[in-house]
Amino acid sequence: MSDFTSIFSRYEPLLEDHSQFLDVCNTPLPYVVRINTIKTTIEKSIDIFSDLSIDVIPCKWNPLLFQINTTSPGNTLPYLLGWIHGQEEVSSLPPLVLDPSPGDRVWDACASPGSKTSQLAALMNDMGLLVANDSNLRRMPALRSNLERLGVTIAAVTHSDARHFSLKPFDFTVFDSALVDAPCSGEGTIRKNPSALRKWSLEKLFSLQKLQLSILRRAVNVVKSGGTVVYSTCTFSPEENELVVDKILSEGNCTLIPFDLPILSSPGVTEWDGIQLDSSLHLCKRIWPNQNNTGGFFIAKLEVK
Amino acid sequence: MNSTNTTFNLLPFDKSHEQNQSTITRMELLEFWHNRFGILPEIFKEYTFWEKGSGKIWAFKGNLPQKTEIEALGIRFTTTNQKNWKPTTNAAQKFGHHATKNVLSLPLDQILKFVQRDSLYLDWIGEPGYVIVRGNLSNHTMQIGVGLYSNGILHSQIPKSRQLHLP
Ligand SMILES: C[S@@+](CC[C@H](N)C(=O)[O-])C[C@H]1O[C@@H](n2cnc3c(N)ncnc32)[C@H](O)[C@@H]1O
Repeated sequence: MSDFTSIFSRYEPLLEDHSQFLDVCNTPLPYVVRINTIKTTIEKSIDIFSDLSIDVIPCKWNPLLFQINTTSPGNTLPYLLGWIHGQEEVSSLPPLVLDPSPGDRVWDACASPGSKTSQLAALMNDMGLLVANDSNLRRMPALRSNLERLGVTIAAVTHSDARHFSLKPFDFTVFDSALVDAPCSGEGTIRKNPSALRKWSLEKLFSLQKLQLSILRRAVNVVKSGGTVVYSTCTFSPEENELVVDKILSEGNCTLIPFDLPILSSPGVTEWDGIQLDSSLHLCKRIWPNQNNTGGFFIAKLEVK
Repeated sequence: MNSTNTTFNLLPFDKSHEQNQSTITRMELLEFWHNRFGILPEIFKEYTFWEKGSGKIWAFKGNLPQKTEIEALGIRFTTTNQKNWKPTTNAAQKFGHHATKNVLSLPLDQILKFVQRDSLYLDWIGEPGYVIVRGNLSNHTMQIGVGLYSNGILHSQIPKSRQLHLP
């Protein structure tokens, strides 16, 4: 076992089968691609995979996802055509939970490299407005080129700190909904990236928590009353998940709302480290890698008051 | 941040809008797509066109204030700062299925060369200039990108950053 075992021992109270969880964390994840319905259809994609002798296995719960038997999906014709995009199964959940409609105005607060932005655009049939923001200049080119390659024509890309995001470039004052796919410690990506936890520390979780809360607060501020904000991370630590949501709830401008997922998940925790949290936090969902043989994820769906 | 780098100017409808700083008009742009590829201006009715830097035209489905400070707006659409205006690969992929002329359809083996930026020698006679390149596979047509055709040779315009390296 690698060194993450000791870090992950803190999650033993949250798991039914902790050793199975650790075992799964030690196995690599298959490559998965999402079919981009802005540019193609499932049928066309399946035919092109077969013409090019690319082996694919459809994902059980989402007809747009395929496991692909190549180590470089980016070096294939369907990728160049913008028909596919490499995206893990769990990473495709937050846009489905946000569930935007064509014509909506949506803010993607932490967008690079644009996997979820482009999926949101596809769910909107490339109609409406999608403001894709990220604060990291080095991650801008990937965001821009993915959106262009995938044929997204409703995106406006902004480079700013989401905590202080300004609506100045736009001619409106509120969004219909927002996605906060927050920067996090990335514990749930351990299968893809075994060195993900090399810089793990408790202090780091708390400094991320501060950042996450400020970004989430800005999202709640720029979404209309009755609109939706989805908060997600690819990490397990309650410090970056339920504790962040607990704090935003206590500020009184939003409430948690229930949602269903097409795969197995566990309810959010309502107690951590001896601290009692808001009882509605069970409405959040945690996806552990051993539940569906995926990466790890956390999702909360909020409604703005 | 350098603000001139991120200023998008809305293309005016025609020349009567003199205060505008754009180098071309929406009408000229759509005339080019119509004349060169037979794509009707109708097709683009939901789009606004924006210039960022001289001759770099973007297509965005929607409306924003005429002068917008932003990193990107929709997709890069056409380059107009050269004698022969040039569609981008992404524009050809997005709108190429509407084209009725200066279109070239290639079989799989030639597509696989084209996407590796190889030049192709063709027994096809067409007008010299930019053409939209399509591929035919399993009863489906796909829009691949843009080629520069002259004297029987098709020069692939797939950007280096998109080039495939196939075994
Ligand atoms: C989990 S990643 C986003 C992945 C992306 N949503 C996707 O699906 O492709 C988190 C992103 O947040 C960005 N980020 C970090 N701090 C930020 C801040 N203060 N404001 C905006 N973005 C920030 C990072 O640069 C990173 O790209």
